[in-house]
Amino acid sequence: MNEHLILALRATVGEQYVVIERNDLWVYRHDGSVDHAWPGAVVLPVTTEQVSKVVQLATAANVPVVARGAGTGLSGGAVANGTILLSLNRMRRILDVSAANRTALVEPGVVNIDISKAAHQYGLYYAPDPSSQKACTIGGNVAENAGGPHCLRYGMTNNHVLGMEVVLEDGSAVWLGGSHRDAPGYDLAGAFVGSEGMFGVATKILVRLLKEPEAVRTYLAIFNSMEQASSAVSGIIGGGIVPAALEMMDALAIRAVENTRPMGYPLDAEAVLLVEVDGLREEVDEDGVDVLRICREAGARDVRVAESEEERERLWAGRKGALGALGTIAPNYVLVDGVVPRTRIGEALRRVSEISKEYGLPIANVFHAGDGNLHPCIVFDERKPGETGRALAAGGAILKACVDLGGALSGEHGIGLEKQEYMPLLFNSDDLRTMGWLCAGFAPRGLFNPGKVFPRGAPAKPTNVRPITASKNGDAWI
Amino acid sequence: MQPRIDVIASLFSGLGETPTRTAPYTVDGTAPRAVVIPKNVPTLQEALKIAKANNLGVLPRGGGTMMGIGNRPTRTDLVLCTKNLDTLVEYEPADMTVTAQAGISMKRLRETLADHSQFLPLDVPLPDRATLGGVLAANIAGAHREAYGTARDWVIGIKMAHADGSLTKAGGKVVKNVTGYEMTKLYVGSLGTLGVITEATLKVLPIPAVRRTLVARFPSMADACSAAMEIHRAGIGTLACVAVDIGARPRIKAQMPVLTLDDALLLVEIGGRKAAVERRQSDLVSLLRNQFSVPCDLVASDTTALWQSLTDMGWSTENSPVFSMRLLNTPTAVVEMYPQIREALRLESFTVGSIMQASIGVLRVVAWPQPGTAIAPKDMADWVTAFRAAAARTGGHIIVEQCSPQIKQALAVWGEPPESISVMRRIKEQFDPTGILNPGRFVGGI
Repeated sequence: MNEHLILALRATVGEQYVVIERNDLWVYRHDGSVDHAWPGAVVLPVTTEQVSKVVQLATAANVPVVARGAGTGLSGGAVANGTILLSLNRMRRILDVSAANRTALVEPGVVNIDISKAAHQYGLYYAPDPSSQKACTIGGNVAENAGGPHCLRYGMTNNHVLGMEVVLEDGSAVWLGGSHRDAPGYDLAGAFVGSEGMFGVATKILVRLLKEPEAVRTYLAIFNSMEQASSAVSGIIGGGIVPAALEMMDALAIRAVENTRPMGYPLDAEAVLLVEVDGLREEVDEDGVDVLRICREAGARDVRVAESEEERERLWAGRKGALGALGTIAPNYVLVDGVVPRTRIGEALRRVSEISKEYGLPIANVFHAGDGNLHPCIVFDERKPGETGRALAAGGAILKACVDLGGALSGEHGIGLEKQEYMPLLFNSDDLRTMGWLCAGFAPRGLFNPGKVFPRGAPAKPTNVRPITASKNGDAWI
Repeated sequence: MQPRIDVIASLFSGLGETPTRTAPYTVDGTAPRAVVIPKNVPTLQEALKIAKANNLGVLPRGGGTMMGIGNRPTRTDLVLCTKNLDTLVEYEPADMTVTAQAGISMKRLRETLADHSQFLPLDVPLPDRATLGGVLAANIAGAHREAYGTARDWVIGIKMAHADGSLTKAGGKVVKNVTGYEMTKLYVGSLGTLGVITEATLKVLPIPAVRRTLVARFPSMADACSAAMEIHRAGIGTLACVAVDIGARPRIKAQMPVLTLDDALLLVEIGGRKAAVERRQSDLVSLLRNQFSVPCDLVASDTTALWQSLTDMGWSTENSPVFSMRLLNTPTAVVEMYPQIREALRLESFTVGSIMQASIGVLRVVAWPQPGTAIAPKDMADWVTAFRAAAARTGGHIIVEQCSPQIKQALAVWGEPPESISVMRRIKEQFDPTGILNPGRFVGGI
């Protein structure tokens, strides 16, 4: 990278906050996916003014800018190839929590769970809870429109972000949205969430807080077949109950969990269903009775109940640790984020199982059953010749199956580098052109995070292979 | 040079109905030069291509209930009406999603969903005429937004016909989807300036097993709003909670307590399963009794009809030039500004009715002119400007929803453009480079 630019960046944010040495850049080479590249320089600003100045310098030098939070993303969105990588981790102040307005104003580097921790004293919390919430930052959540198990009832990041201050290509900082949803004009805040870092850099984010529910109850139901568990899911949704979360795991995932961190799941069980209901005590009682009945009628051989925070944590631990546990089966996996209409889950799972046989690779399913967001996890060993290619092809086949069933490529991880070549499965060139129009409205020069989301026209390249070892100690972040 | 009027109408022959009498499609006092009601999506695309080739201003229209929204169009050439695109495309109750073409009436959509005990939680004025496409384009929210959000939170997929006649889709039919940008958010509320909505997919919800409305009388709007804030703070979980004044009372289709001049009613809707509703009701009754010494009664009348009548207020089909506006501000500022706004409108010889959602800082004011009195457009514009300045001090806005074309000439109905206007203009240029879609009607003259 040009020496004058480096000097100017150092003058802007301080000598030690511009990283260019290879040894120091190592950790910034990839996010939670396996795509990786060397950034030209990592810049760590601490104020909006510094971000503006960095962006101005980048625009003048015609060097792209890739914003980065905690690097937990699963689609390569924060991978920067030779460009400026703008790490927002020093901008981590919670500027305001307003109990009266039920909002929090935060900087982009604030960790997701810290918003809820700060709001807890007012009996409030921030609802979207990606499983990486102890590490991921709100800026990254905004870029990817992050989800989580509790999206089913409470919606995605986009339903909870009211507005943001954004630095545009010319370095100007403007507010999009605000405390009022229907402020005059286009819903630019809504359009910005999920733009995968391509529209600008969010430097302040105003989020909506919800009242903590009075009661929460979690059920863990164990089934002898996936069909039984799926029929319980249909029964719950069809019965007019919208649980806070509705999560499923299949036999392979169950056995992997038991092999690493035994949760007391029966090893011969074929499916485990986690159902969480929340609200007033009365609601939890009424919904809970129904959930219990529906699970039993669907053939559950055992249903466990948790009401205290500790018991809930225990029931959730198996679910959240499932992906990491897959490391006991094989060293690598391809994680697919396809989504299908709820009524097609059974079919989708059958297709996944067929694909597993066709490609000769085990596939575990750990997923958000309530909203149809599958997470088939193709397990393989990259040291065996040809397995990587086969695993990626199987992933592509699953995405195609999801689209054929009326679904989409990504429920919550984003497109990034990982899935950009699959976009034409869902969108034709006219559809993609409108996305280009929107991007050009925000960033006419294409300065931010170029080369993501849109297909490059080249055949799909191996990108989404991720070594399991990376997540062995932590939660499986889906 | 633009073609002559008769030539314009002939350009669109064969694309669907082309009513020769265009007066019923008048927008802000001007009858369009042609009206086309395309019979299907391809003919609608064709109409757009022809309009673009001839540089005609296109005003998209659904049921025509909200054609008064926005600035006066700078060109009123073609009204393009989607009401014949009214197919229910797909409804799978177990998926809790529904897909319909833009011209379907909200009443029909509502009835279809109700057959399966589901509903779309949007407050829609005049649902027998309003169409899905129009509702999404105008994005007017009502009393239930505090519980359910607004249209943007329910649309998961959309199809658009653009100024160049191309047809595109965004989103999909699944409830959780981050495949590509959130184009649906951009289109909802864009008032037909970026394209014409031809189809949409929405999430729906199970209808609550029990719904009840309770009413309490307060000596002033400020008192009713304090109670509303307290109910919000207590987390009772209401579906809607609004304060209304004496002018709004006659519009409510339900038995309501009698009011004197400054009194206000607090209307609260609760819902859910039976035990939860009982609990909410008892919490509400004791909160109002203990903290405000005010009794709170169950409304015996049909709760759906009651809330629909409030939603309809000021959107009636009568031809009288109703003035209506929304003030969006902090709860405190809304409560403070209410009496001043009401007084200003009264001085202009209006009958005034107001609905306030204190917890989210929204005040809707509807003013009906008294027969035989003339309103000076300049005075109206002056006081709106003055109140706007006051609202801006606390970060608030005033949007004039409807007013006479004369007032519009003296007033930007959306107020000062936001600081992000340059981004909005660039987006508009990308989607509609020659500016044929709803020219001039949106924020900042977009």
